[in-house]
Amino acid sequence: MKITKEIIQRIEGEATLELEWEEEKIHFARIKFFNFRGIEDILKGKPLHDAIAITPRVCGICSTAHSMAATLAIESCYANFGEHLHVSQKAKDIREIVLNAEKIQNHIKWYYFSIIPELQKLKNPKLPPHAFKDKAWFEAQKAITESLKLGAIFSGQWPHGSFLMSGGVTCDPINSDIVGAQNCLNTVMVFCETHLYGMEIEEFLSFDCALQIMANNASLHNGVESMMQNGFDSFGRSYDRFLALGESFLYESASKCFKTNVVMADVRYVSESLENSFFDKGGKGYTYSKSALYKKNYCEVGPLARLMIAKDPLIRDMHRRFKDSTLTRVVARVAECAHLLRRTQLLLESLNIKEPSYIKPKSNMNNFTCEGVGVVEASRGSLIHKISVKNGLIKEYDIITPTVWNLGNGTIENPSIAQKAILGLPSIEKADFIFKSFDVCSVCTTQ
Amino acid sequence: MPKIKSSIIWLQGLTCNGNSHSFLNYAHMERFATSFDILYHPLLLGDTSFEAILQSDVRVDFLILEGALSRDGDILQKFGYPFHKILDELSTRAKYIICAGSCASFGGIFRLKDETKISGALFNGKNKGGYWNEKTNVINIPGCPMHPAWLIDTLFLLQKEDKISLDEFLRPKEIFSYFTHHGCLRNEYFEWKVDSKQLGEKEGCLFYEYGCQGPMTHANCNKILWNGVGSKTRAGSPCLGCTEFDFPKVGLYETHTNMSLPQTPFGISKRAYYSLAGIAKSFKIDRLERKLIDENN
Amino acid sequence: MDKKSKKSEKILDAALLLFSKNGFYATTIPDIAKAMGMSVGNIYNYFSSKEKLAKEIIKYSSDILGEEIRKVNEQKLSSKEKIRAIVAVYFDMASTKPQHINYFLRVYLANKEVFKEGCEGMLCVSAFVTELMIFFEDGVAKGELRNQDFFSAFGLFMGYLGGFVFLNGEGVLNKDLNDYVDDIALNIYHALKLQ
Repeated sequence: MKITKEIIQRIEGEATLELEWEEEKIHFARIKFFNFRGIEDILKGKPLHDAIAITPRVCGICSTAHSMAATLAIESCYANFGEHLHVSQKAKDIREIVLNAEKIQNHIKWYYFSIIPELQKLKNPKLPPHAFKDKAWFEAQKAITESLKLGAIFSGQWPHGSFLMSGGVTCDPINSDIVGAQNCLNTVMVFCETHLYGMEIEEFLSFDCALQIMANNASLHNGVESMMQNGFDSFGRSYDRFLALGESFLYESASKCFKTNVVMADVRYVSESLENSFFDKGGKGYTYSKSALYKKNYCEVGPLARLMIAKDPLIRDMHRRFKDSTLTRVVARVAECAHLLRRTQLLLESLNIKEPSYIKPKSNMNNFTCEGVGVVEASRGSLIHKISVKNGLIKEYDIITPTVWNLGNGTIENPSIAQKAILGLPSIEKADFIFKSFDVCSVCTTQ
Repeated sequence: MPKIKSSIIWLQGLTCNGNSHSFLNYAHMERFATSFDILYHPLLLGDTSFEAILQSDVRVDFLILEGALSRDGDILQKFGYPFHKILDELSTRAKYIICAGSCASFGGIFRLKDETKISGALFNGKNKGGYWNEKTNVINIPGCPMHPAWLIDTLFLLQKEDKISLDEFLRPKEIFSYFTHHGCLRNEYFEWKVDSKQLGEKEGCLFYEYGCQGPMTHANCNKILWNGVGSKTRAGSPCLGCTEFDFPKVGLYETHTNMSLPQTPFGISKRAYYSLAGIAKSFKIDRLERKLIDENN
Repeated sequence: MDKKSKKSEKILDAALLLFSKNGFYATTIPDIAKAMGMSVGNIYNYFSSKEKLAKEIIKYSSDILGEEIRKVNEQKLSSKEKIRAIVAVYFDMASTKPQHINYFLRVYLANKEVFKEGCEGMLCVSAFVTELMIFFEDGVAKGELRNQDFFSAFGLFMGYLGGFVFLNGEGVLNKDLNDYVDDIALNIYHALKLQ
C-alpha cells in the first residue's frame, strides 16, 4: 500500500492530506490541519456580548454568519435566564438580508474564483489562470463587491460588519437606504442572469429538470459540461445523508434527510468528537480539526443539504440522476444563489422601517449564569455556537462550523463525509477538486 | 512600452483571511492589476506555485503579511515547513514588508492566546519587538480587517516614491492621522453630550454608554467609508478601536468609566474635556432631544 | 490683568462680602456702589444687572476654589493625601475668606431663581467641578478609590464639607474648623477607597 502526502491549497488556508492508495485508487485519507488560533479559549472570561465582535474573526469570508450565531446564542441565554427577547420582524429581515448578501458573495466567489479556475486547470494545467487578468474574473469581482455593498448599507462594512445586538439590530435605515440596497441587488442579479445562468432568475427557478440547465453557454452550463467530462457526475458521492439545523426560507424547520426522506431534527442531538485530534487525550491525534456528529452519524451540511430538505424540484431531479455526486453538489450551490437573490429582493420590498430596530432587554446581564445555543445556516452549512455564562462572563464557548461537519476525522470503517467522497478516486487532482466542491474552509475548521 | 509592474507575494500567518477578502473588495481592481503583479496569493490560483517561488531566488517588491506571527512550528506551519523558515527566507528577498491588518501589525486578537509566542511583525501589542526586534522596511496597515484602499493607496505611493511618512506605530500618516470620529454622522450628539438612549436609533452618541472608541482610534473609516457606503457608526454600532495596538479591549460594547468619567479623546487633556463636557451637559437642546426625522411635524 | 479687569474683580469682592453677609435681595446696587466709592451708573458699566453680578460671583468663587484644588491635583500624592489636602484647602478658605462658601450656601443654593438662566446645571461652578472630576477619575484609575457613579462620590465629599462649614457658621462646633481636617479627611477616604 502506497502512502502519499499532498498539500491542498486555496481552501481559505491549507490542509495536508495523507492518502493510502490501493491499486492506484484512494483507499483512505486523513485530513490534517496544523495551524491553530484557539478562539474558544480567547473568549473565556470575556463579557458575554464581546462574542458578537470576536467570533466573526474566526473567518473572514463568513463573518456575518458567526456574528449571527453568537447573537442568537446570547438571545438563547436570555431566554434560559427567563427573558424571551422580542426581535422585531424588521430586525429579523435586516439580519437575513445581510446574511444573504454574504452568502450570495460566497457562492459567486467560490464558483468564479475557485471552481471555474480549478476545472480549467484540470482540463489544461498549462493554461494561465485568470485571476487579475480575464474580463470575466473582473466582472465576477465587481458582482461580489456589489453584493457586499448591499449588506454594508445595513451592517456598516464587510468583512467583519457590526450591526447585531441581542434584541435586534443597531442600524436604523431610511427609505433611500433601501433603494440603494435594491440598486446593488439589481446589479448582482444582472450579472448572474447574464453570465452565470444565461437566463432570467425567475425562469431558472422554475426548472425541475436537470436538462434545462444545459441549454445555453453560460458559466453554469460550462461548468456542468466540464464536470461531466471529468467524471464528477459519479465521483464525490458520500452517505447521501443531509442535515440543516438553522432557519431558512427554503424549508419549514431544522431537518435531516437520508436520500429523499426528510424528518425533523434537533440541535440537542449534535455531539462533538475530539477523536484523532490533538485535543484527544489518547495521544493519537494528527490534526487540530474536530468532528461533528448527529445522533452519532456523519452528516453533510450546505446548499445541497438545504435544497434536498426543501425538496427543490431541480435539485431533486439532479439527485435522481446523479445522487450526491460532486456535480449535484456544485449545481445545488449555484442554484441556491438564485433562491437567495429572489428572497433578498422580496425582503427588501417588504421591509417595514417603521418598526423598532432594537428592543432593549430588561435583565441585567451581570447576574447571568446560564447557557445558550445559536444555530445559523452559513454559506457552507449549519453553524452552531454554544455558550456557557457565569456572572455575565463567558465560561465556555464551543463553535461547530460547516466544515467541521463536512470534513471530520473518521476511520476506514466509518469515514466522514469528505473522506467517503474521495474513496476510490484515481487521482489527487480529482480529490482536490472534490474538497473544493465542499468549499472547505480551513480557518473555520481550526478555530 | 509595457508598464513595469511591482511584484507582490502574499503570505499568511495565524489569520481569519479577513484582510485578503477585504483586499478582494477593492473598487478599482482592473487599474490595480495594470500596476501590480501578484506572484502568489494563498486564496487564488496563480501562475507560479509556492514551491517554485521558495526554491527559486526570485526577489519581490512587496511581501504582504497577513495574520499574527509565531516562531512556534506546532501552531503555525505552511507547506510542511515551520512558518518561520518560510518568513525568514522570503523577508530577505522583499524590498518592503507590509503588515496587512492588526494581527500582522500588533498581534491582534490571536496574540491573546499566548502573548509570549504570538505577536505582530515588529510589535507585540504596544510593546516594540514582535517577530523581529528591528527591521527598517516594515509598514503597518492595521485594521480588523484593514480597508482595501489603505493597502492599495500605500502600494501606489511606494511605487511612486521611496519614502512614506509613518507614525510611531509605522502606520502611514495620510491614512492614520484621521480619527474614526471625523465624519461620523452622530458628531452633533457628541458635541452636545446627548447620549444614545438605546441602540437601533439614529439619534445619540455612542461614546458615553456603548463603548465607541471613535475619538481615540486612528482610522479614516468615516471619511472614505467601507464598501463605498458605510461604517460601524453609520450602522449604529460603536467603533471597536481595531486599528490600535490594544485591540481588542475587554468589554467592547460598554464604555468603561472611572467615577462616570470616560477615557478622553486622543490628545485632549482631561481638564479640557471635562470642562467642555460639563458645560455642554448643562444645556438641553430641544432639537437634539427629538427624532432626527420627525414624522409628526 | 488690565485696569478694567482689576476693577471688575474689586467690585466682585465687594459685592461678594455684602451678599454673603446680608443676602441677595437685601443687598442693592447702591449698597455696592457705596462700598466701592463708585457711582451707581459706573457699576452698571461693569455689570449690567444685579443678577449678572450674582452669576459672575459664583463663577469667580468657583475659579478660586478650583485653582486651589488644581494645585492639589498636580502634586504627586496618593488619593488619601489629596483628600486631606482638599479638605484643608476648603476649610482654610472657609476660615480665612468665609464669604465664598457663605455666598455659595446663602445665595447660590437658596435663590435658584436668580441663577436659572445663564447658570444652567453646573455651568457656573464648572472650574471647581472639573477639578473634582480629575481627582476622582485619577483615584479610580490608580486603583485607590472605588469605582462608582460620579455624583454619589461628589455628593458624599462636597455635601459633607458644605454641611460641616454650615455647622461652623452656626457656632456649634467644639473646636476650630481647621482642627477637624484630619478626622473628616479620614472619614471621606474610608468611604471612597477601594476595599
